[in-house]
Amino acid sequence: MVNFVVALPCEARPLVAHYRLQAIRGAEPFMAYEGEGMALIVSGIGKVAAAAATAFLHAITGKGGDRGWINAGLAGHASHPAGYGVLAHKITDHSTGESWYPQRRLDLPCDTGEVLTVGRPEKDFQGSWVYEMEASGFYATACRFSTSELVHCYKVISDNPDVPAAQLTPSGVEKLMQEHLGVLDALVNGVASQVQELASREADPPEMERYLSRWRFTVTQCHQLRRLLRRWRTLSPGRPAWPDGLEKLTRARDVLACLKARIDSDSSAGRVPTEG
Amino acid sequence: MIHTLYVEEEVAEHPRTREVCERFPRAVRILCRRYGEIFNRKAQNFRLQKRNPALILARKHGRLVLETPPGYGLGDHRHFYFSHMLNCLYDCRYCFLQGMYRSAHYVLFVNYEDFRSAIEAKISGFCGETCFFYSGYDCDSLAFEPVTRFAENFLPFFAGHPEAWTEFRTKSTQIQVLLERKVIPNCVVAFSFTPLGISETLEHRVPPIEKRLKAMKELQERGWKLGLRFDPLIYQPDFRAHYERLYSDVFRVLRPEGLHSVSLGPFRLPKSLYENMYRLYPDEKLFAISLEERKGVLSYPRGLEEEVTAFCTRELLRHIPGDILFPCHVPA
Repeated sequence: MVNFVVALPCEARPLVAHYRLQAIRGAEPFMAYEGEGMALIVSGIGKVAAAAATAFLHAITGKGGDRGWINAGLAGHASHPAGYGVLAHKITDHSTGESWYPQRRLDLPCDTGEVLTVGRPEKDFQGSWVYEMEASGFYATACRFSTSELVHCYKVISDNPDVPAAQLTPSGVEKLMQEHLGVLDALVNGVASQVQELASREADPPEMERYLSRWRFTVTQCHQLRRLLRRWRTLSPGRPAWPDGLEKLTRARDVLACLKARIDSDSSAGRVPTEG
Repeated sequence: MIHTLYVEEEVAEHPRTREVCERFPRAVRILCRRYGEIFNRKAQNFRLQKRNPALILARKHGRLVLETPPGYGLGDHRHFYFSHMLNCLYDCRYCFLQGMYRSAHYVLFVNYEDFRSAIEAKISGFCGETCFFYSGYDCDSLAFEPVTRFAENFLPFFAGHPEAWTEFRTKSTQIQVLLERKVIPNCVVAFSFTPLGISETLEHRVPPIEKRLKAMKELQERGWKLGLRFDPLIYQPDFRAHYERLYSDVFRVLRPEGLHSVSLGPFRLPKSLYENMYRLYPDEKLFAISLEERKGVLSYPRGLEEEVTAFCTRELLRHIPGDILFPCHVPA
């Protein structure tokens, strides 16, 4: 699952069309969309709006496990030409001075750069900063929900000293975003495969359901069961995780004890190699 | 290959920073205020990062030289460790670093001059006592030598302090820096080993055993004092055959009389680090087998631990004299 956070409807439209997303009903006060393994929210302008939208999207799309998060949108720069794409490797909040350092991805055909989140539109671009208004709010919030390797900001330069922001039109914005769908596809694919990897690592063992349907486990016991079944699967792959005599047990804690005893016995009896 | 260099503003102009940056001209260089902004952040996944770690260049503040935990170290001397680097080029599944740090990026503290001053202060503070200084606690002492030039910088320092001992602990074959200079009698180069099958499974990116032994042989022939570290001892059903073979391979190449010390210690992990490691590698057999908690440390069930340790000790004593064997004591 990959979630997009964009500031403006005209930034969102090319993504909604490209990924064939459908509007989510009842997502007011935001406009939000979802599709196959993906969701998108239009935050509005500014870091507070971006933070709120990120949290809102997290809340309405489910809370389980790490998801990919991408903030995509337009930005200004002192020298980069319009249409130049940059993946953030550093995000600094201009008002607080705090910085974040998104992991650099080496699998993307684009440069990385330093993004400065400002509180109001900037015309006087300094140094090598990529100026925009959402990244710090987005990034700090998304990292509360997912591991930082899955959280990224991709900015397309729309204005510079030669092309002021006042000249931008909604259709011009859409065109700029459209031109970067290829890079965003690559970013989505890279992040999605990491999401998948983490999800498969955290998935319940296949036998879990059978246990849960037969005995009543407390929440703590469920954690214990999950761990024991994972250990069983790791130590004895291919052997059904259902020790002899289990059916006769009536209490969940006896089931756990039985499983643990069997794993301990196999471990110490030397039936379980560490290697291979 | 390093693709990303994070550089603390404070050390941006440090000569060692410039030297390291010049080694990676194509790496993207990103300034930061303190390395903790990157290294200590929550919401990081060590396992994902380990595939492509960045290098962080920083200044070490505060206590630069620390006493080793009780039970560690060789004999009845003063034992200290210092960490010019955090994290290791290798990826050993049993290594506590992956449970201790949130980030897999390498941190190199470039202010070697401050480490040397701190070591000098300890030496003069414990005047008359033998002090040992270990460098391979939070990293491999030699593996990153072409970049860090750690040994190149610290060997002359210890040569000038014959009253203190140092140990470089490594699994690396980066020994050129040692071969190129005169032997320093108060320096021990200690190599860690596990048996072949275990090494191939659990010690990712580590040079093969035969290459490490070849490096040790070269050093021994030049007169360097060597250490052997069989820590952690890893259990498997046929551990006897594996360790017998390992010791036989080792002592076929090395002369026991040229060894400074041999140490061994059972597989053990503080519980909190074990939990972090298990979360990263829930499908790892090493963490799935039954372990026992004793005083906050997880290890093999006592009987099994004693069996493995006793066997390895007996086997080692067939090759070496008892006075150079130092078992690592863990809480009972």
